Amino acid sequence: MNTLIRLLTLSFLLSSSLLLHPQQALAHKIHVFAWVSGNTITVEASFSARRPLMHGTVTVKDKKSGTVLLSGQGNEKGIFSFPIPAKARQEAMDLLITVTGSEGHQNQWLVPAAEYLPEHLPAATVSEETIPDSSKTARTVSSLPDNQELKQMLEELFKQELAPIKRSLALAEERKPGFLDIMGGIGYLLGLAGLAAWLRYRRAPDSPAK
Amino acid sequence: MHISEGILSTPVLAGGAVLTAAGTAVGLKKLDYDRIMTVSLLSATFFVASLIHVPIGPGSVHLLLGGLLGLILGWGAFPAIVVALFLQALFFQYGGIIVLGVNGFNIAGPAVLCGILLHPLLSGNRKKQMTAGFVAGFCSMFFSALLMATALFLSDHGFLDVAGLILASHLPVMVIEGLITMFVVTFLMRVQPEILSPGKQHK
Repeated sequence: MNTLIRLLTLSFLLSSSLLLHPQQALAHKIHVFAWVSGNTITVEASFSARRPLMHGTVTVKDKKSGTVLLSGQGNEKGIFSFPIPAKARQEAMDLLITVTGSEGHQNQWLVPAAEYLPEHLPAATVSEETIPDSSKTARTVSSLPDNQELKQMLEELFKQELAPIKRSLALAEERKPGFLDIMGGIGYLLGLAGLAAWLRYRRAPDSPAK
Repeated sequence: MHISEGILSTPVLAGGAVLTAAGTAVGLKKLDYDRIMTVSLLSATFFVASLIHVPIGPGSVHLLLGGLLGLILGWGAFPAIVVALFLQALFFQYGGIIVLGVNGFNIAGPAVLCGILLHPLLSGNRKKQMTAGFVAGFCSMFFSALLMATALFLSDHGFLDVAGLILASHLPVMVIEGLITMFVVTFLMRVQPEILSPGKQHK
């Protein structure tokens, strides 16, 4: 029993010292994130928010057929940019981006066609009422860009403005092992031991335990 | 030290699964029922140790404590490590369920081997005990890294450069792991030697 208590204390100290330094508890897997700006897709790979995955191999595939469209290597900041292939645009491919680290780590990120093809976005509904009466606004209309141009400008602007927000959203999704995960795992292991002991001693209820 | 899903080829995955299943079976068969609680607590220690990262070198490396488990549990370390790896895959997304066989063998194999080979040293003097602790911690991780490189090589990921990189990035953590195992072993030998059962042969 004494042994048990000492072992319990040891593992408790170990786990609590760990929980006191959450910054050390970085997930041991890679995070991949890609965003579209204009005609370029930028891929970022990191072990965690702070440690980039240097020189990871980036492979871009069509999600449906699995054909490799292009591949390359990230720089020392874990960044890799590529222009969207014309073939992908024509066939409206969902791009599956896989980043592989040299030590057997790998993860993926999907860029759906809708993210880089404006025509695949949900069609903007312009109701008749919102179109200004040409006679009333005839004076100003000539100096304003037309609807199509305006739409494109806004799209560009939104893409630029939203890229960092999308990036931080993806980073926020990064799930670090928390207190509940750790305690849950330890609980499972103790439960398994209990189960094994129960199975062992249930079999021979009369015979004295060894 | 955990290889992700989708990297290894099918024969490597299958081979790892067979080896791990065999190792786990042997471990369970040799497991003394009176030591179930010790096995489970050390399994929990292993489960948590992988969260302690050592921010040195180009990769992302963490403690394993395989050598410690091997020294204390002998063959029992095999199921202890495999179960903990399974839970790590579930809870932390480290490694994965399909690669569990390969990861299990990579980590548990060297741990058991080092534990059984070095265990006799524990009945020696303090110097021998310290050596056993350090070498168990250092070598179990060294061979795990080597096995990991082999698994990647067999799946066509190049060997020499990858092996060099893996060994280089794990070198600091091997030393740290050796030191930690050494301190834990000498501490246990002083306060609670029966945990390590020196003198008895590991079954």
